[in-house]
Amino acid sequence: MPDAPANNTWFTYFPKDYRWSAAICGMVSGARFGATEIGELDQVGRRLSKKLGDDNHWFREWVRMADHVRGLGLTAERKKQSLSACSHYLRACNYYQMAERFRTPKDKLAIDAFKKGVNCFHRFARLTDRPKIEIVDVPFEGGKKLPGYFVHAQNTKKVKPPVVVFFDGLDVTKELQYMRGVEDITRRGMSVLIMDGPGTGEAIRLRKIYLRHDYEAAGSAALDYLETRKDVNAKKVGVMAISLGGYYAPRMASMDRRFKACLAWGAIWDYYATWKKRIDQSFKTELSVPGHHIQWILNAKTMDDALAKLDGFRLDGVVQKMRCPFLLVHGEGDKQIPIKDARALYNAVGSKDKTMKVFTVKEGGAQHCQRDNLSIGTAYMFDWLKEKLGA
Amino acid sequence: MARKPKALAKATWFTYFPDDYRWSAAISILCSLANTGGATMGEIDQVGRQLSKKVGDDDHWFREWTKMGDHLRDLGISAERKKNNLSAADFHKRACIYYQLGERFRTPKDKKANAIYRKSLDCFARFMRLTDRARIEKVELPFEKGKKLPAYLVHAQNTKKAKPPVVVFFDGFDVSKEIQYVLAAEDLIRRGMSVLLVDAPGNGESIRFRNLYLRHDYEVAGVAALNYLEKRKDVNARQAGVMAISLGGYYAPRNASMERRFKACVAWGAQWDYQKIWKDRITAAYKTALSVPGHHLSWIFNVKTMDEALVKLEGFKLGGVVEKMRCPFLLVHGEDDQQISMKVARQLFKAVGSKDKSLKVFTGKEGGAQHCQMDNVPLGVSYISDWLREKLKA
Repeated sequence: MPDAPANNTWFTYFPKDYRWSAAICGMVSGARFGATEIGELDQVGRRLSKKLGDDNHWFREWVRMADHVRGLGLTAERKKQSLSACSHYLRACNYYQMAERFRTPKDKLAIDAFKKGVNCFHRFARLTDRPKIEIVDVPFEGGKKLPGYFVHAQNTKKVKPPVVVFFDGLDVTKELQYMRGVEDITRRGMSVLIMDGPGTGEAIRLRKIYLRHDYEAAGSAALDYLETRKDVNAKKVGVMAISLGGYYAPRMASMDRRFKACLAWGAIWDYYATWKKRIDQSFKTELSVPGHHIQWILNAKTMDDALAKLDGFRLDGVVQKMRCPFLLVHGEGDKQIPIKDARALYNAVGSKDKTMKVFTVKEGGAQHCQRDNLSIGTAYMFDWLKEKLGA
Repeated sequence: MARKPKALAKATWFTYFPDDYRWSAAISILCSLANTGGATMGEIDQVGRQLSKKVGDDDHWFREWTKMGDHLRDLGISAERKKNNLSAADFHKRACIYYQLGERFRTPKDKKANAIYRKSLDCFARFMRLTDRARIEKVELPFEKGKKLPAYLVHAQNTKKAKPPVVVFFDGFDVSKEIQYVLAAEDLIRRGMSVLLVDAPGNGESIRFRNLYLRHDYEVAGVAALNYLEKRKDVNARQAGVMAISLGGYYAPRNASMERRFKACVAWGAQWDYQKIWKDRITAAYKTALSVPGHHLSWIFNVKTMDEALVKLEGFKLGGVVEKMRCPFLLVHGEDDQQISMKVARQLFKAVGSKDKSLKVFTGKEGGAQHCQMDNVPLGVSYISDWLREKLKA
């Protein structure tokens, strides 16, 4: 059964199901970056319509499409049709990861699909003619490493271009982040380090690195790593993150002054309160993934445990310390995080140079993290980054 | 004027307006162009919601798309002013496509239609100037009687060849060089081929502003393109292919059969006896799957009646022509094409004289089964571009 219906001012493939519609809407917006193709999406969508809200069905159908598109990739690769192969692999990666998204707890089937998705991305990275993508490991605590992709700047003559560190959200992965427009950042002359931070992507699934409130641990690790590279300007590093990343990015920029710009792609203010409300409503509200997800990534046995761990996820008293230029982007019609939270965050940020951009229903991009019109959001954000980092 | 929607779309592809084939087909094309930045779902859906209120009313279609075109154009101009060139290029590209898709169903072409079309060209010119993605030159191909054919030369990438192979890409019944650019040009150039996008007789700027009407001896346009390419020092005119889309399934084979300088030919969608196609449509009183209003035909022929149009269509038959073709030939067709049947595809393929010929049929299962793969354009474009790269040795 669907958790909550989707309202009707954006492209809702399943009007009775917010979560599924939100996923489809995000995917279709990613077409601009090669994430999907309407024909494939609609083929799966027609089959999904038959069992609305059944997450097993969702998993099976998306894996089926992913396998098909991966097959196209393998065939093209064999024929040395590299560009066709890489575009197929990128879509396959997206389909595997979106399939796995709603499968919780993560069983072997889920992890296998996820790994296949990562493998497809690696093939894409190897075959594409642009941009140049390196698979990297960023040294973290206790000998552990955080997985990332280093994507090289384009259209620049600088030997050491500025760089943007891009962290995930509650349920995002570095592969999905790539498909949210990273190539357009590199086209503006900045390199991008895309990270699976604690609690997300490979870090949670394959390395057991759980979500934690002191997210600056990951931010500082990324900065330390960038300082060892000779092909970036480690003095011109920005940080951005999406969705729950509206907590991560401001936290990191407030706690580590080496960041020279901070972009919250969607606001977070008191994340404890956000989940308290969701739990009180028995998750019958607009969610991007099933409610159980939070327990898993916090490594909590019960929802009460999870809530106890969320106690630290508050930006008040933290963002007042921020000094670097700050951009907050939020959607007027965001059903997951209200505009009230955006205002609270924006008002509290200590930076003198701060901007809040609210996308309206009229101009498009009014939904959570502009998933209804991704390109309009990315154009705004990436132009801002370019200006602030002097790319 | 409101029209009753005709020709229910079969629900095996993304049909935004399940009761209206023509409108759904146009939306499907727009969705497929999202991958190359020609459109984006949020904007399609915003317009779509307005359109749903008056399904089948082409005036309404024109107004709503024009409004969205204006909105994107404003975004583009404002980004340009701030020197945000890449954002501006994106906005202008989408504005151009929204204007052209808006103008598509407005017939006869009045002052309003032409004004919007000119705006679309201006947006494309701005896109061209601002993008980092391709080097695009606006060129004029000398044609008959001092006239010229408007075209874009898009330069090859990822190649070290000083004279890379080149693909001449002609339109269809109702296409334009700007739409062609968004459909396939960047995929072709990334594979090391340059592309010449031409508004040939009966299409785009040629019909709207230069009174160049549709004609059956389409090789005149191919010859003009080749003569032009031979004068350029930055393409290999001896490795020139020709492709065209939709009605282009007539143009490209006709060109390659009559002009041996073409070294490869792609028919993106089949044609065989185009006169018969229209006879059937007229008999069915246009209550059939059409891409644009029926009147479009008399306009591009410059005739007053459908009878006159049918006379002009007499020459549009590939039997007796394609038997002469010698270069490698690829025919791409959709199994479920509701405008041109599979039978037509088989007739054309069988008749082509080339030894090296392939027929690729996209099925419902794999996607791309609709007319010219409008339900999954990238799948078709990958296949065509890889084939051309191989045949032209790019």
